[in-house]
Amino acid sequence: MSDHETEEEEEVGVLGSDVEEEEEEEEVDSEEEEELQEGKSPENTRPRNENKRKKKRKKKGSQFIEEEAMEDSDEDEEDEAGGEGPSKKRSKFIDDMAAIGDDDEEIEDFDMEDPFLMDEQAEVDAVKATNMNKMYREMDTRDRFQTDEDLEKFVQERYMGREDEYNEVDEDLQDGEVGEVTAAEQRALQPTVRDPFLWLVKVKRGKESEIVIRIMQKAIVYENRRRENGGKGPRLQITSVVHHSNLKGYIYVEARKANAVKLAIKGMQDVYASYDATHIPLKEMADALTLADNKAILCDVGDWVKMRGGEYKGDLAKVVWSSDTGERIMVKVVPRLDFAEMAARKAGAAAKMNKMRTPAKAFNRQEARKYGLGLSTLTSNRLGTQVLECAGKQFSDGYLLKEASVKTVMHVKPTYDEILKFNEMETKAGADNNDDPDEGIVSQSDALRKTLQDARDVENENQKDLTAEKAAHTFSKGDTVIVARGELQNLVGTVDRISAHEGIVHIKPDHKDLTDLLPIDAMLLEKYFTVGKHVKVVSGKYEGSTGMVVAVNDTVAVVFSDMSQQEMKVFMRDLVDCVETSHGLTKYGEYTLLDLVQLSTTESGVIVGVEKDCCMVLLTSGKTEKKESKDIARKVYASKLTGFDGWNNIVNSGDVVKIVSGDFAGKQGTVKHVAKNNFLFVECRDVLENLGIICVKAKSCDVVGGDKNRAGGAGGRSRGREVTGAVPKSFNALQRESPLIGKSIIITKGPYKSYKGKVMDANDRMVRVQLEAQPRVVTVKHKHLSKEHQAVLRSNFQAPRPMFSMPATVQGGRNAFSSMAAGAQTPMHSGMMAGGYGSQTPMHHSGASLLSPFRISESAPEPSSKRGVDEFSPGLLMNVVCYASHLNKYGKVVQINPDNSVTLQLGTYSGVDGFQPRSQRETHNTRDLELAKPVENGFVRILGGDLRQHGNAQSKLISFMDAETGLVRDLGDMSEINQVAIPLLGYVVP
Amino acid sequence: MERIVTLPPQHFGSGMRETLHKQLVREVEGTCSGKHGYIVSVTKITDSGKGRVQVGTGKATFHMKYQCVAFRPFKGEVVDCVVTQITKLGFFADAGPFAIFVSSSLIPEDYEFTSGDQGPCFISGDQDVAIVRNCEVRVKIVGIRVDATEIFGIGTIKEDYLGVLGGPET
Repeated sequence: MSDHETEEEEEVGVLGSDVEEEEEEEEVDSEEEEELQEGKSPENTRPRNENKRKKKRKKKGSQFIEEEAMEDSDEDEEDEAGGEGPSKKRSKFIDDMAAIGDDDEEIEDFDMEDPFLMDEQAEVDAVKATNMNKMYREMDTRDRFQTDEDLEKFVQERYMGREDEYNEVDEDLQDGEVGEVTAAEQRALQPTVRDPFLWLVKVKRGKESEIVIRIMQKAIVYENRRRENGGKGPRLQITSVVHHSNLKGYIYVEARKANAVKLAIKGMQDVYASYDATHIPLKEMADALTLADNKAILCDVGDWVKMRGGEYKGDLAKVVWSSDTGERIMVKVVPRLDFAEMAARKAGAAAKMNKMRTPAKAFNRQEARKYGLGLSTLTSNRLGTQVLECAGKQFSDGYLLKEASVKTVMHVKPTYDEILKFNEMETKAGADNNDDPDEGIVSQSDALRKTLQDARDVENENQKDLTAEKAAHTFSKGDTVIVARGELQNLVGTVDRISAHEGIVHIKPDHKDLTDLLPIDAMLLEKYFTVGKHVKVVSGKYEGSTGMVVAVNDTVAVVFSDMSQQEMKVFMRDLVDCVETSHGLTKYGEYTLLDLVQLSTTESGVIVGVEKDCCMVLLTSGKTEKKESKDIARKVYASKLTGFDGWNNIVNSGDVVKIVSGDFAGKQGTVKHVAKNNFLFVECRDVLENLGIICVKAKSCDVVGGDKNRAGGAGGRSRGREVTGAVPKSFNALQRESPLIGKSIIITKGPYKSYKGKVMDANDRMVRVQLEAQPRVVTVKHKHLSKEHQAVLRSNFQAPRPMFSMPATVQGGRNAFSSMAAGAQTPMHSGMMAGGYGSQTPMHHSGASLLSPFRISESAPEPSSKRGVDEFSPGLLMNVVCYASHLNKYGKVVQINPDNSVTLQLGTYSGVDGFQPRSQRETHNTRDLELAKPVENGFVRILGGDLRQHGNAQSKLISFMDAETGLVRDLGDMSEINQVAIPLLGYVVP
Repeated sequence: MERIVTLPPQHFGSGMRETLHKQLVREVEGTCSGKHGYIVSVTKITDSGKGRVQVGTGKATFHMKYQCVAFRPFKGEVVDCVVTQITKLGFFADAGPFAIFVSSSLIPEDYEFTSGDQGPCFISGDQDVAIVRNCEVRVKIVGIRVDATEIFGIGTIKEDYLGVLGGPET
């Protein structure tokens, strides 16, 4: 070195024309001498020059680097996995050789072609050599620097002078005030085409810095060799080599030509020469070498973070330790451990691929032991506390302690629920591990208390971010607020006026001595809710829901929801006073709460809850499941489906049903939807879950009333009256009636002529025939059947015509059927009927509305012939006036005997005066008695038909409509005015 | 209180007043308004008004005035009620038509929720008192929500002299 020194003495003051090169050499020296601070990796000093040119760190750049790094790591793994077989080595070798050959040739070409350049080159060489020597000398002097300060001073002196042009910018940068650097200035610093290019060279991971040093050494060796040979021989025509700590497996080489790069890495170990050096485009050069800025992500102990990736992606974690630089942190998370797999791995098995994410749960000692995983206690070098060690992982209080880079986490503001879930783990861990005396059980209430504490901390954290102006916006006029801090602490008042831009809220104090409005800084105020307040949640999971406050805990209020009848824990800041009630979110995309939706061809359900990105669907199985929009095939609009209850009555939506069997037996509710397979979704007021919606089989229900417009089998049933028994459908009724049903017939005319089939149903004009030749049922007119069959049908349907006629407007086409319908059954296919059953009068439809509080409901008129009293239930006959025709005596029933006889109190009867009783009594068999004709305005009891009254109920016969029908008002229910056939009325004398 | 009652024409005649009164009673009794609460019973009809026949429908409208007994629960009021339903979150109780929810946070802390043989119940710390279905409780109303057709309240038994009065009535 001494001769270098002398040489350099002469050259003092000559600045290298090739600055980069000089620095490069310096780097080598520093590394060689190993005097510089250890761990000061080349990129820290070296790319300085490069970095000088770059201005502010750009995000784009770092992304690029990270991407590259990832790519690299993948490739690296592949390499490792593949193993370094001999063939691979060989090919590498061959590649190397080829590269060398190429290089040589090219260099020769180069030399030959451009002698001028060579001259220049020689010049440069000379200068470089002197620079180098000077540098070496200085290196030597560096030995003398005993302290870091000296070194720093030296470095500063050394670089100050010649980097003036960059310094200004540099300082600006250090202050972070980029704004002062004009765009033009910045652009001037950008690399141009005249500058050397940057090449990316793939190297073995972890060897980057070593390779950088080796290239330096190579450069020196080349230079030395040249000097020995009198300035002849090849040299590395690269200006710098850089490696970036964020970009593993790659180094950057700065050179003007690709061949120079090739030469530089030629023969180097751990350089993947088979990959060509990649040229970094001019535009990206600046970004490629920008240093990552860690300022944005710094974590303090106690911060809440969420993991960005890996198995714990999205999991809430708490920072428990952070390194001095803030780059490394340790977090505690709820572990997702698969003990079985951990044990297997310990035994040497390979890691399972594509396994399911293990659910998060607290670390459990027993379980770990069960799988033979050893536990040990050690003192964490990070935390300085005792932690549990198991399978290379550290645990504390059931949490997994995980060391990570700050880049792998992000700051979050956890919600109350998240904090609670996190803290509860400690409880569980305590409970699980209670065989250890050293670990006390943490009670549930502790977790809650801790959660509240944490929640408060989060609140305070939020408070910090808040400016008075922002704070003022959180209040609105009429809010009840409490002064949380300051001299007026605990003063409660209502917001009267807000000056948002000043951050001042004028409150009207709720205090007997303070009557004036007080202007108070919004920062000092907090919302105040007392138990019993009706509030609305304005943000968070329960956004939009309303409810009443049932408990208040510092910052968290427990709200009892109006609709779902559930309790919600909400931050007080998310509440506002409100009057109206709502359920919060009611719409989920195109679906609304309580919609019937089709999930698959076989499954449907009702939306009973809506959350932000999913909805709860009550399925026909009775289960409630979370579904996303992709799970829902479609919405079922006004379904035409009808169900059949336990008595085969038609059930439509809107009907009131009583559930008679199953889990919900005894409940009553309104049918909201009828789903496939005879399922009903019933809204029951006394069910708390699922908004009161339950799913039942229609068969286990009983229709008790409902929609006024029902045109179904139970047509004549009056409102609210209980079904007393099975009401067969029309065709069922006919089945019993017509002897033809079930018989095999041949159709003789019409489109189905000569078809053979079995009669399924029949009415007065049609029969339904199941064809033998085709699997279907057809409707055939009577006249298309053979003569004999027609005769049978005629005798069936047309023989006993009713002898009275009703006004068509009221009665519709009903009487046509009265002869065979035992209890006013409405046939299903009204279209076939003359007049049709759809022809219920407008009066009937308006019946249930308030405007017309009465209704006329049809009661099937009975044949006009006098009915014997024996046709009616004896229980209804009390006080009914009967006529004993064989004796020509009238009497009032005063006693009903078990042997179908009644005791009559005889009396006189006239159509005008009614019945006048006498004291004489006689007992007669009901067979021998007839009903006395009621008198107008007299009391009657409907003894038969659909409207049959019970027990001692009475109606009033308002008037006779004609000889056979009367208008009857039900005295029990004044709104009911019915038309009833006179023969069904018993004249009642109280 | 006042109400306009509509009567269809077939009631016109001698018994009309009677029908009108019945109609009014049927229309208002058991209803609930936010202002007056539940109308329990019409005590007196002070004025039936004169009927006006509506053009087109033939019905008559009567502007009726009446007096009634109304039940309007107030915040802070103490009511006796019957427990109708018990859940983990608390229990529901009815004071006549008025439903009250008592949250578990408004039940003294020593009460614990259990679902025993006789269904779910809250049992006090000393095992003495149990809140079961159909038992009578004295509740103080702390909050009220008034809907168009219903009044719903939140109650507390976490104060002196509140709580269970008697066992379930059979």
